[in-house]
Amino acid sequence: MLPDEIRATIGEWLATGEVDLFIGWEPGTVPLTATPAFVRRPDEVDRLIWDATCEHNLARFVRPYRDKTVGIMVKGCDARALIGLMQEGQLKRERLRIVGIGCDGVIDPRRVCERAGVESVEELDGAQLEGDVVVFGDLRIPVAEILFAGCETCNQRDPQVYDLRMGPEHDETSLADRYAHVEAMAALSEDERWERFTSEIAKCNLCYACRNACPFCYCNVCFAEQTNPQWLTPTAHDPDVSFFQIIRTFHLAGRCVACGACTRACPQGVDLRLMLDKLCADVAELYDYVAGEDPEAKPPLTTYRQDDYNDFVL
Amino acid sequence: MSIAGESTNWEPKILAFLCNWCSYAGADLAGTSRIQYPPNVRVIRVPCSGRVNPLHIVSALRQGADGVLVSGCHPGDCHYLSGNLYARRRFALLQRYLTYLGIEPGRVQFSWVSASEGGRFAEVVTEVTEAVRALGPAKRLNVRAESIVAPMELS
Amino acid sequence: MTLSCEAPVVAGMISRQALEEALGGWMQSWRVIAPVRQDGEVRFQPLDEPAAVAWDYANAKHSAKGVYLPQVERLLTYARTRDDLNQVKATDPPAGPTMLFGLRPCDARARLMVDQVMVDGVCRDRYYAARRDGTVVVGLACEHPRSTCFCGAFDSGPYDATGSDILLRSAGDMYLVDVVTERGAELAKDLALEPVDDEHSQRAEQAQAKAEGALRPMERLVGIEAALEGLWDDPLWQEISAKCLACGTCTYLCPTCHCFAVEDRALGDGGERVRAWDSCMYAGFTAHASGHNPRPDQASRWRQRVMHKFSYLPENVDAYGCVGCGRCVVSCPVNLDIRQVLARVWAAARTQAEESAL
Repeated sequence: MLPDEIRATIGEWLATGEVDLFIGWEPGTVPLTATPAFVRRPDEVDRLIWDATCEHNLARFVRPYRDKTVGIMVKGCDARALIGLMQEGQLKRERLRIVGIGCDGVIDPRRVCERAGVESVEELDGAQLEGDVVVFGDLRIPVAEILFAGCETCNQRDPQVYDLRMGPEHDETSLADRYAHVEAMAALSEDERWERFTSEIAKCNLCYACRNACPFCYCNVCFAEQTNPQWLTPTAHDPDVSFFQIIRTFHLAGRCVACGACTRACPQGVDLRLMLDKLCADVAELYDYVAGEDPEAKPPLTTYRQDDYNDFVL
Repeated sequence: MSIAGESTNWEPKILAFLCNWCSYAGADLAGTSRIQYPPNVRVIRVPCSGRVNPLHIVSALRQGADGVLVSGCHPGDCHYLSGNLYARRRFALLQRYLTYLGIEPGRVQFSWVSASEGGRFAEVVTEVTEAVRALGPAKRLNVRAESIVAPMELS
Repeated sequence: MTLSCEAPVVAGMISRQALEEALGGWMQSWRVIAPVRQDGEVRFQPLDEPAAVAWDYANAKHSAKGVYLPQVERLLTYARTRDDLNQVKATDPPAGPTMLFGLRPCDARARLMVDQVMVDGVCRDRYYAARRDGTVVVGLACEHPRSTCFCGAFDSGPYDATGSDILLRSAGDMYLVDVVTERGAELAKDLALEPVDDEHSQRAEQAQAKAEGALRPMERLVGIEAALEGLWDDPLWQEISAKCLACGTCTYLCPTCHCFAVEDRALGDGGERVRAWDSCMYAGFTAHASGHNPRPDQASRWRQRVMHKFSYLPENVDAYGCVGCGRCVVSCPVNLDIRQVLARVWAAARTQAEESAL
């Protein structure tokens, strides 16, 4: 629920011109979805909502407006993306008006489909989110049981930066659970890991939704679309797909804030978290760094220490 | 058409990125000292190991290299002061990542070899070549490993 | 618009079991592609056995266009060997007849629409033609349109026979068999048909009325090309495209989208030329070698998408580039709903008309 006082403040920001634009969410046209809303007039703030269907990382939309003052709603993870973009010199804090949300997780419509026994989300016609329960016909499913997988082990539910704050406060859980799936993958044999990786990648059809949903993929010309040199041909067959996935995820090393927007945007259900969380885990282990905490911090690949980990060298 | 690994005379093809000031000079010293080492490396000279981009390494594997070696100055001795220090972080993460995804460890290796270490260079090349030979021709990520002749159908 | 057909003729009715037996026979001489359940979703796949058909499916997430316009297709290969300096081989598209079984009316119409561009128009794409010629369609009328379906807005509907050679209509325990084309009539000879009785005829008609009534009401889209004429400079394109991720999911899933790129892939001593799906949503879609891009932002790309589907195609090939299947609505990661876009188009045109009348 979007508290009235927050909605009123957003209206004031627009009315006084304190922000040129406010980016939030409004209800979608498909059951249990929200959609990004770009609001410019005070009378439009009634469109805005906040609930567990608001899964997009809206930080992705701010950069084109970085010469203006923009208001934005961000969950804990999304707020870290804003911090990351500030670290990289892409956004200025003074040009942002941030409504930070203490978040209990977003729902995964695919899990709702499984519980309801339907194949696709448009068959959930009539499904509603009522408080923290999804109601569909006679079915009542607590939101906590149908969260996006990344939300279940999230320890960054509270926004690290904001002008206004809403939503509950959390005692953050430890990181131990968060990397369980990475540890499980690492424990497999080499052939099993390759098999797991390639079977996930086989679903990918190179639509670039993951890249386009990510706040940190903002290169003017992505390596995947470079023609000089041409790194890959867009054939949507291996090894072009593996190449794209390996390099794109590696480009996020030390930057990814584990918001999960890429994984949710993927129309094919590729488990991108399995790859990105490995990079997050290694960056934490080797360089004692977690992305999106401190706008003044130097991202780990833009700095070094004399005593950095060296054992891997021959 | 070169389809990797079909002949019994297969020799590993290893791409070696050598930094101009240290490792390339070290390789040159190995040569002038007439130190024998396996001829399987193809050398690409770069100004600094820090110039090497993960795109280069993964692209080498994609194009059929059986192994990739990147060699630079020892930390603290970089001609550009810190290029190899940035590279060290990049390569540590990349090597762990590729191993995690199932690329055989041993295919992508890193070393620090100085301009005076001709013998060390030969050692490194020998070690990498034998490691790659034991792994066999690279098929994972190799775009040439798929048969060019088979038609692509609805998948 | 050309996407219509003569009224089909009811040839008889048949049980599902007898249909599956007929399928078994057809699978001997046709490559039969049908909706099949796999990994929790429905996909169009070559059929292994008749019982695998997902008879009660709504629609597959992906369209069937990969059958006649594959996502990746080799056009030719070249090689340099010791004996032969230049060996260029044109790849022959697969010969052999294909049956698209169980296609919904929207998808059947979509294929007909793509035909207008690829074979029935100014030129004939030989790769497309080879896959498409000899393909027959046994359509399956749609009893349960989804909330995201809008075929009705094109004066079509869930029981439209256009694009099918035979259309099957469910009547409880039996299917009514409608013959639409001459090829359909030929095919129908393989079926163990019974005469249709009043009871089944009525059931089928009731199902049709129910299905047509279940479609969400939507403003009619036939004629929208006139609305688009004056909207080139309208600010609506900026507004509707603001949340677009440019991911191309809509174009990939769309049964009428057919844009492609031809790429050469050099691999040392040989290589190949491939045709692969492209997307007007991608930034590089119209990027020139000079670096200039005539569609530099998502607003201009969205304008192009809508104009192509609802203005240029009707003008050039007398068919809309949309059949209302709703796949893009279901799968868009930001829920950019083309129905809302089209409603905005109508509204903007009306505003313009009012303003110029003043």
